[in-house]
Amino acid sequence: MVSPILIIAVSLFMAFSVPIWGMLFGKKVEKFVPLVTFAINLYIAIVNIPIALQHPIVVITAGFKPPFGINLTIGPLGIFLATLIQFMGLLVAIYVLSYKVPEPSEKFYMLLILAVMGASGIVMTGDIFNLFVFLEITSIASYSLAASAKTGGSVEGAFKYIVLGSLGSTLVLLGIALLYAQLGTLNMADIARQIGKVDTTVLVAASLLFITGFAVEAEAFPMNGWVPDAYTGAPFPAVAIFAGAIAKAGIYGIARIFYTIIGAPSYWHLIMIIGVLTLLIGELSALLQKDFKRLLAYSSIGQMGLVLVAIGAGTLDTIAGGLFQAFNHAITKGLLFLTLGIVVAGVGSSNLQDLEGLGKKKPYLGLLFFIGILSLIGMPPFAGFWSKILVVFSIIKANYIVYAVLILVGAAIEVAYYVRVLRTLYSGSYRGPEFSTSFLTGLTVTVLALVIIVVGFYPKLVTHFVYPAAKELLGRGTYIQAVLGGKF
Amino acid sequence: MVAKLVALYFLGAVIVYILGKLSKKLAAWLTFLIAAYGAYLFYGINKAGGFSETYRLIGNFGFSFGIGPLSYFFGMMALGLGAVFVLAITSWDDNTPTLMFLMLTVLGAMSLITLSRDFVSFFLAWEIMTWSSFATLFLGRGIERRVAVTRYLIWSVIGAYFLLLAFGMIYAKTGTTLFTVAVERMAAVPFWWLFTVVIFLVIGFGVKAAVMPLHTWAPYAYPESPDIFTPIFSGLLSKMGVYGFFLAIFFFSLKFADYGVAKLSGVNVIGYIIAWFGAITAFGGALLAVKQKRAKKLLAYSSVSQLGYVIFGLALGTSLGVTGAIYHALSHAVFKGLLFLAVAGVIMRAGTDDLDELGGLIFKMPLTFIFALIGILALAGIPPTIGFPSKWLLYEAGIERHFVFITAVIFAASTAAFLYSYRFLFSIFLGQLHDEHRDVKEVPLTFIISYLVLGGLGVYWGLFPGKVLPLIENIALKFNLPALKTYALSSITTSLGTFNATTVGTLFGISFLIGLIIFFLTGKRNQVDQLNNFFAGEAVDQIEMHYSTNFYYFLERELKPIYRTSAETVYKWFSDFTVWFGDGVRKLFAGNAQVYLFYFATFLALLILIYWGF
Amino acid sequence: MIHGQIIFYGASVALFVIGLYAVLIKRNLIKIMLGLSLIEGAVNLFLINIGYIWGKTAPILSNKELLAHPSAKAVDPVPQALVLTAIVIGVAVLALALSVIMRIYETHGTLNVDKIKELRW
Repeated sequence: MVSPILIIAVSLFMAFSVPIWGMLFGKKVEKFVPLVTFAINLYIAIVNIPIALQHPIVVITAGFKPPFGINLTIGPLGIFLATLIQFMGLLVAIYVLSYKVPEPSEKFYMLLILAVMGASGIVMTGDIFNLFVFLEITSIASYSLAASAKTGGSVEGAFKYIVLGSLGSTLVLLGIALLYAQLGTLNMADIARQIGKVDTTVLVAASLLFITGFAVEAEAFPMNGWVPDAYTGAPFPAVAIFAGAIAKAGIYGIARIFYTIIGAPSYWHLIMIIGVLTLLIGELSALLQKDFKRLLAYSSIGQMGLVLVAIGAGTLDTIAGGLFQAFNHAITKGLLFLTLGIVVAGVGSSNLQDLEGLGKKKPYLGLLFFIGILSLIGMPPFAGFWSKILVVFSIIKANYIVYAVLILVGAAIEVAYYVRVLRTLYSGSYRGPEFSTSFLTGLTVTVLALVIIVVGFYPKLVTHFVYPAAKELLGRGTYIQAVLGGKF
Repeated sequence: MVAKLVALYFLGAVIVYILGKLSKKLAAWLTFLIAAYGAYLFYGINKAGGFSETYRLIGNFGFSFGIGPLSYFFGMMALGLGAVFVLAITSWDDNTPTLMFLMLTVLGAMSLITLSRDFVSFFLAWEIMTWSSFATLFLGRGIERRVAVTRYLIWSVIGAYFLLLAFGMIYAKTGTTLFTVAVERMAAVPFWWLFTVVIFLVIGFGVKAAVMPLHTWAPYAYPESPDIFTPIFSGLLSKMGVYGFFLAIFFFSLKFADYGVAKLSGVNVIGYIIAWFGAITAFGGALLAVKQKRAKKLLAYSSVSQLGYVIFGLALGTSLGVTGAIYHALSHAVFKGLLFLAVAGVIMRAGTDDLDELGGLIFKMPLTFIFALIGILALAGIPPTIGFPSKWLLYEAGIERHFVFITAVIFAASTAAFLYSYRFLFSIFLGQLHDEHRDVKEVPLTFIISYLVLGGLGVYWGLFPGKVLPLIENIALKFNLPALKTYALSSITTSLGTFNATTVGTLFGISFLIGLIIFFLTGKRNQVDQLNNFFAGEAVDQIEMHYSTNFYYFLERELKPIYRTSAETVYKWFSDFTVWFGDGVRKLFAGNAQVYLFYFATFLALLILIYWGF
Repeated sequence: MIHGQIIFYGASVALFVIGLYAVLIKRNLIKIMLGLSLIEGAVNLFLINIGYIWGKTAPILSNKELLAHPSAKAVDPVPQALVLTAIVIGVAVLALALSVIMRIYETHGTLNVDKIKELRW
């Protein structure tokens, strides 16, 4: 068995060795390093899938058993997200083989590997301080990625990200401190086991701190002010990672803390309300956007809101639906951002008016946008259909019909602005410069589109993971037992 | 069986697309063959005595398919007539591989909708139908594309979401997604729940059937779709809405009477109110059709109007009403399809559907004229076409229950239908031939064949209603509706009288012959130059001389107040409000980092305050 | 055993408030970052304080007494480790932020947070 900790180890090594490979074999080699790293990582993740689905993998580091040592706990949820994150990383790595990244490029590759590593660490760890550390690693790497384009917009977006992100992380640290003060342990399973001993006021304070802290990464309102600006300013591969990998890690943080560690149903409503607010505000703000990239950023916010509502609702089906939606969002937004990246590299602008008629001029790219948008709207036979129907049905079943109506209102607004996008793409005539798509970038987005179609036909491919993952979230006892052993 | 149909239509669509890149003609014929074969397969299902299949796809949701009298009727109508419509694409000038792909996808989706027996597969097929018909709007001539595309998708999605909500509520209450099981378990639900579900379903299906006030997409989407696709769009897709409507009212609603809902002459009040919507749609649609200047838009409003009749009949729920409604659905599919196909032919040859620019095409396209005439006769409800029995049954349905006002509105709608039918026919075919159309040829052979089939069915089913009624009777019996009136091969007898198609048809034929003889015997008319008119010296250009320009100006003038009220103002207000609200909301993202930090801090403080009482 | 000193908790809160003030009210970007640093410092202080036990000494196993009875003589080592990590992270973020601010100054010409609104709505 290949230990999943290698995912982190390999990434760390490869990240910092990028310049060394460059020195040894010439600069050309540098851009292959992320590719190799993520390929190895993806392999490790896939190999561990059957094992993790059976029984959570607990990796003990430095010989100290939990609850004293830092351990990794990788159940179905962890392996699902880890595989997804590595997959997105791999696709972006292939994409950057052909896409020009901002100079100095070796730093960009390093940051890419680090960001993905951080996100993987978040979903795999079993220790709460370790979670904080990985959160910071991811954040710092993302801040730098956001600023890497070095344009005015890029650094502006990065600054907003930095202030909000560090405030959030600091509050998370405070929450950890509060829990430690009461319980004396940092191991997630151990905290979960002893959570009853925590004084209520302290528990409330810590929970609120955690919610607001992780909400920054998870792009929830009102902590998501950085999203439109950072997404607009960052280079496209970085944005694909933000939307595809890092936001998911933020959602994971919230889910893990609230289901496994604290296990308190009274916060679920709060999460749902935040989710609905995020959804509606995100979709409404997207309505009038003239810039496609910014529109996609707002749409991303909206989708994260939807995922939060679903995950906050608390039943097996809703959580599974939320996770499925998160998966679809990662793939679809990845597709849309990367395709837009190809377009912008050729056209020079992501303003919708400059893209008028592009769908007719470049039918393949237009088709990719069409598939992505239809999947987001929830049309069959694309993946988005299943997640939408699962989420709506399960939320109504959980007796939250008002939320279901609000979700559909948000979805209707989403259709309104995407129809405008489709209309712009397919009407009029394209007056911009001629450009071509390179093979590798085209390959990446084709793979993403194929995933959407395949999952659309065989949703079982994903439900195979999300249902056990949802069960894991709801079953605190199993988690605790897996890590600490013995009866709970 | 379902797998076969799915593979045929959807794989076929892909193959046709690829083939179409190489040879459009070949692909077009393949499209037709696939459509025809699909209809044949579907026909075979019923012969084989029905079937039932289940597939497990995700979680707790399994797909279930089956066929019954209702599914068979609507499915056969969709696929059979669809195949006839598709035949014309083989000689359509503006054909593209994408269009053929989408046509087959739409037909396949419709077959799945009628065969589906569970909510998930139904919704899946419904959504496929939605986006594939949406995509065709990009292939039209682009006159009103912006409005058409936007309204169609948003309306369809809103309707679909109402359906999704209703389905979700049923699933939540009954724990199953299978139609029959769900209905069984719905036996003891509270009334308000049932009412909400039915209203949601009615709204959802009403959008597709373009009932007022949910219809504002139709007058833009129907004309904007590629001319060869519009028969399918207007004739068949809307019938899926009717199919769903039927299910909603007769299948999912159980019997409102069981809950003590009041009845008006034997019709429950809720149905009566919905019937009023139908009647107003019929009348309103017809009025709006009268003032249209483009043929496709006129026919689009006419479609809205005709479906109003169908909704009226279904909502009444009596045996006459339901029979008339389903009969009229069939009749509309046939004659509207024929009319749109005729218009497609005219546009293909003459290049325009603007009624003020056309005229006199009877000289150049006589066959098209004859079949358009049959179509118009059917639309106006004149025997011996299929339009008459269906409309007659609907009138009887209203009269039987002594619903004076609503029947009066329906009657008025028919009168308006005469007005626009005449306008349509005259403006295109009669009157003076314009100079630019002197070289117009008749439509190609495949069009003629389609016309022939449709026109033939239109007359055949009009002369022999006894061919259609047994099918409808099966449907009614399956849903426990009261027994139908008696009928024979060519006559229908209700409590109010008998319609003998042969008698009427013969009378009609004889009078037509007499008219024809008189026409030819009384010698030639005087041929006069178009501009030979007395204008007191004022020079007038040709367009004003066209007899049918501003045809109904007097009517429009009198009805101005009615024309001013429109559901569109409400929706415009709604969308303006949403846009205004969205504009305000996005200002939240002020771009100032400190403001965002402020939100953060305030939010946290707020939460702490709220939870302090914990 | 009294965990931590009230005065240090008070200091921590005060630092937090001062930092929050700087973050929310000050206009200069660098001052905002300083405010964030103060907040981080406050949290670190809080964390250390949790582990502090009156009368005990640093948890460095250097002399025999401590080695023999570590828990009797040393304060809680875990928060110290956490804080060390947190300090380093804070420094890294601060460094990154400052370099970003430098670039902002180059591109926008100002350090006033109200004026850096090129991307909005």
